[in-house]
Amino acid sequence: MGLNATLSMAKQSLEIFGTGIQVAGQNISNAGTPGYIREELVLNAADPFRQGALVLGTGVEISGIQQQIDLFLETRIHTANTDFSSISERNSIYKQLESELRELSDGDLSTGLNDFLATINNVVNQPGSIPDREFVVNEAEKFAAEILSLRTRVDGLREVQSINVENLVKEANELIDQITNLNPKISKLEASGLLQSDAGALRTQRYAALNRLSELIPIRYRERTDGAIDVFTGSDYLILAGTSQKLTLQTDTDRGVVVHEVLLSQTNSNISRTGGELKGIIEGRDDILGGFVDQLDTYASNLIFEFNKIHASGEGTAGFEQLTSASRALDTSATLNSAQSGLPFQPTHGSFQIKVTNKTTGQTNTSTINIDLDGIGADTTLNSLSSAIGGVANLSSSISTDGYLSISAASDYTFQFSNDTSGALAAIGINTLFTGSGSTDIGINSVVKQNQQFLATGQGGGPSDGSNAVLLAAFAENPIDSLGNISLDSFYEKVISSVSQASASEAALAEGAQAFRDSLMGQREQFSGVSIDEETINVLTFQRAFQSAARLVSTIDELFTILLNI
Amino acid sequence: MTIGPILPGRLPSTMLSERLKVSLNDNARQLINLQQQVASGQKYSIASESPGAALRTIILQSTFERQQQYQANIGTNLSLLTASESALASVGDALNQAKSLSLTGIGSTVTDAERAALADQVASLRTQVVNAGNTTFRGQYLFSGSQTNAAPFEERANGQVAYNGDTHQIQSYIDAQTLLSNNFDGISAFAASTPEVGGNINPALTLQTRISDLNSGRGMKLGSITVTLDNGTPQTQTVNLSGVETIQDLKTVLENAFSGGPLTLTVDVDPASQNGLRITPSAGTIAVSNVAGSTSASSLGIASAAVAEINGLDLDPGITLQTTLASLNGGAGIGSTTGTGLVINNGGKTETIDLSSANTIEDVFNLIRTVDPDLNLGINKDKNGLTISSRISGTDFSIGENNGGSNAAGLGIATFSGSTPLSELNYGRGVDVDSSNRLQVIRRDGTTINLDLSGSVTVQDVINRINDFETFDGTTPLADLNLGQGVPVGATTLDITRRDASVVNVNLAGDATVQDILDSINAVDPGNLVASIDPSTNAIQITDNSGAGPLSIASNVVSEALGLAVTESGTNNAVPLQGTFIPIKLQATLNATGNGLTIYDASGTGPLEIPAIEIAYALGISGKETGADPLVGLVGKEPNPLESTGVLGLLSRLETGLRNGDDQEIQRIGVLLDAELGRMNRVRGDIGGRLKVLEEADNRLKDQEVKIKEAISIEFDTDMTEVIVEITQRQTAFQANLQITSSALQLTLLNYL
Repeated sequence: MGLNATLSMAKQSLEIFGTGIQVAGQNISNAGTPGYIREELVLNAADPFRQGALVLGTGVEISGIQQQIDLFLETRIHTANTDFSSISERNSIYKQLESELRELSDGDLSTGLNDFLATINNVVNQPGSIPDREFVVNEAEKFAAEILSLRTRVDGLREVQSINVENLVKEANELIDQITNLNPKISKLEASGLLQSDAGALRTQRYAALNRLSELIPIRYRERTDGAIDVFTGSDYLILAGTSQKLTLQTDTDRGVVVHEVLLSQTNSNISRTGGELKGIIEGRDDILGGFVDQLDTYASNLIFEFNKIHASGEGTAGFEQLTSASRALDTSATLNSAQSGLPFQPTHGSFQIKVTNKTTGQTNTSTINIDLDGIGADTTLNSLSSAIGGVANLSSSISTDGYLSISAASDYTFQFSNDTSGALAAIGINTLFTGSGSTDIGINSVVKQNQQFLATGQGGGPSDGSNAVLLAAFAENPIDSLGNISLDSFYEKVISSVSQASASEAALAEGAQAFRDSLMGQREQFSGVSIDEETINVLTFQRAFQSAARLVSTIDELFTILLNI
Repeated sequence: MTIGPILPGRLPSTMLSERLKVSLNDNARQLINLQQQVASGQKYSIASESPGAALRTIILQSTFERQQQYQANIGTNLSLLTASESALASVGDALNQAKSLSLTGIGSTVTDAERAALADQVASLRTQVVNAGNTTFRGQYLFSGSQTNAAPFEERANGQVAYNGDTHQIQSYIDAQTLLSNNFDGISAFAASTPEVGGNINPALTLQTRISDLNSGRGMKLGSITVTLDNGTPQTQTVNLSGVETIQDLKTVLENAFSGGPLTLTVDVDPASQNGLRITPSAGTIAVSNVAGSTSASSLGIASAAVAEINGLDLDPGITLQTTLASLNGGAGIGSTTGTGLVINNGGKTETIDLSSANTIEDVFNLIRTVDPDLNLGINKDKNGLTISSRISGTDFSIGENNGGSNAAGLGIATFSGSTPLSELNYGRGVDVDSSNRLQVIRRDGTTINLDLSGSVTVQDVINRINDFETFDGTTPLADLNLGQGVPVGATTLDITRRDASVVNVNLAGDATVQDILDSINAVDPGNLVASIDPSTNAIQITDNSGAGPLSIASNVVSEALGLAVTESGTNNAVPLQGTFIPIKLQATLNATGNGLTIYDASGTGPLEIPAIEIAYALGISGKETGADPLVGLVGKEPNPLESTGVLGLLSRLETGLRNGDDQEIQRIGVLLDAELGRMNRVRGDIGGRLKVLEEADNRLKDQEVKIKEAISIEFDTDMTEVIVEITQRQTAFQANLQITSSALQLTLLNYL
């Protein structure tokens, strides 16, 4: 009985050692496959049997082929992926924003403002110089265009993020599909499997898919006994026992740009800001870029209103014969500082003066127009303002059906404005340089653009009266209430510094998250990676074992020959 | 990218190569980073790479851009001021020449022909100065204030020169928040205007007065105040006045705060003072206090403990163009404007300005400007009066009343009045009253009197001396009073409202002398109602100790003729009711129209003559009135014309003086030329001072520029040495890394099989 048993044992050994070489070969061939998880042939001695007093071994048998993977590490990698991807997206959006600001070069807004102020300074030096006055108008136009262009560029960045969201959702859905497809295949292959990881290559594919999915959105997974996995994001399932739900897009508009929110198809949960690249992109789009857009808007609207308030109280070198406001009221019977009036800016209680000059005699009559916004009794509306202006001798005033105020002087008379303490003129867009209400619509009043004489550089003197220009040149340094009593200059510096500080700290965070993820990946590689030397030794070991088993066969053969020759 | 720690356990070769890739990547990235620093010359290309340094760089870059502009401003200002200085240098030369011409032209040894030639030279000097004044530079007239498009100086007939510019200073930034004027207007450079006239005319507070015009135009910043009304139950409100713009707003806000009752309040301008607020509660008392940290209630002069009515302090409203004429002089206005107005003498013309259509200061200015465009019209720095001056050099300027009105005085712009010091008259030569000179008057009755004016300081003193020439005492016949017009004693009674409010009608019929009048009054209530003669002037005084009310006499022909149509509103009997001056037969007054003195005489029917001796000439009253009407006086001429003492005015005067051979005038101008030369040197010194300021600012900016560039360089520019050294180090490390890793990778079992 012994020899036959030994021969059969040797035969089994030969098969097993051949398999061992195959497994090592598989590992060696996949030594360069990214994400490959090394496999190991698990052997153990076969069950012994009793023969008389002896208990004899029956050789070796294969327990199975096992993937060498640390499942706990894998979960940690998923979390690290989610964190890193989210921060890394935010970081890259910050960097894109910064490069749009061009703050360290000459193409930035602060240079634009300085160039504009420089031209005003030239007018301050020589208020009567017509070319210098033209330059102010041109430079103002250029500066307005720079603000518009920055806004357009940032809006463009935001639109790109929306496209990124679309692509990301598509990719996540493909990954979910892939996992859903792999699950039954693995179950089928491993149905009678030994170690629950026999379908190595398929599992590797599934691990890769999970890994990528964890970069996009936060996930958790749980393996079922049949080898299939359930995947969850937050408290919602993505794949659960053969059913899956997809990511869907919900389209909306925010600050003038089409934006997407991401929902789950079945449970309708909003997962836009739960984590991963998706969160990074959406936060980048809405908070980082959107927040900057808000600040740019604040900057532009304060620029427009503060500059115009000074400008509106000044006088150009010529008086107006006819003037139509640059802004309009939606409801001309609403109080000027109410939301219903629809004016871009809100005036306060105060007054302004209108000077009506007879062109022939040069006689000037000044009238004070009160802007009553104290909230007591009847307050000023565009209608009442128009009739107050119309009540001034030699002036008439009307409001167009679409809410624009139009003032005209009797023939041979002109009119000018001064001492506006209410901001009403600036709010309505009378005697202003800038038009619009923010960074999307800032422009230059066509009245001044067509005739530099209406650039309000003076306060009632001759052509070289630059008293108002002196104030205009310093406007960026005046503290502004609505900005928390800091100047426009300081506000801009604050915006830039907060963007760069946030960007720098985001970069540091990204570096940290990446280091963490890399170290986890390193650990994974250390545990699951293929070592050529190790596999070579495995091959050698199996080779030698195979040789020994073969020798065992030949030895038994010799023994049989001896027996047969008896 | 970092390389994580190596944990115990196996080290697969795939891990080795991964780690190699990472470290190669890392090395390469750092090298490229350094390379970019060298290529761009910048330490960083986006701010977040070094936020602190980048932000400092951004601010420095912005400061640098601004400073560049300041330097450009300084360049422009330097060129403008240098051009002004060289134009004024030629004016200084002209003044020196004029001075020597004036010395040549004085005295009896110079013939008329020689004087005419000298005058021609002076005229050409004047043209030279006018040309200097009309210098243009960088496309603008240098000396015209803000009117840089028009030639500022215009030569007119009779050697007059009109200045058409204004007094605007063109200011320019030479540094952050630092302004410097880059021009000298014609008035500050050439003194091309007369001295400014205008006194305090104390505008009253009105509901239209703006808060920003209070405190002589300095305004005040208002916050909240606490108001408590109390009529048993205190009612307290803290009222925010920060949005308040006018007194009307203040009234609205305060009244609104208590509109809910039960107690309300009323705010108005205190009618007693006309310059403060009055707050009256509907009942009970009112108290107003400051909110902690604010002084608004005190600023408004209404902080008060509980009282029945708050009478606020003087808020000192400033004058604006919109100030109404009625509110001037504490609400008294400027007198009737119907049939009166102003008489302005300027540029050799006398114009009458009718103010009957004027309501505001702006209206007055418009009316004046229409008639005479060559005047500077404005509001003084203290915002309590007007300033008016003439822009014509080489001529007389004065403002007086028209037709006995008081508009010029009401506007504070009369150039001649009772209070004018004698020393100012005749271009400051004054009137020699203290030498033995007497004012000689040949009266209508043919007698000649010599009036001693010594000790007189003002014009009023002279008027008083003349008026007091005749004795006013009990014996003075009533028929002599009022230039012989007498007192119509029989027409009506003298109606006295006594201090106890009773009215007595004193019948004066039949009274013939002043003593008779006194007796008639004293007979009413002997010892209590007492009339007497004012010992200091020709007037009657009345005292009454019947009560504590006001003492007044109704206006009628009798009381007017006795100068007694007067109210004594005080309650103190020690203060008498002071009658006004009653002329006898000789009277001096200010001219009803225009400036000067008028002398009336009722002593006869002959001519009234004042010989042209120096003292009479100096007072402008030499002359002869040939009519017989005692009510027609000898109207004197303007004794106090104002003139420009600038270079142009002096050259005009000198020319005229030389042509007329007027030694006294030539001498006067000679002295003024010295003063003008001194002034001109100061102006040039001032320009020099500004040029120095500019140069210093320029130097400072250049220094700062270097420092800013240096700072930017430290913060922002690549330190080449450092970077190159670092590149070399990195290269070495990189090479070593490559070598060691490649040899490590070659170490494999396969080599030994």
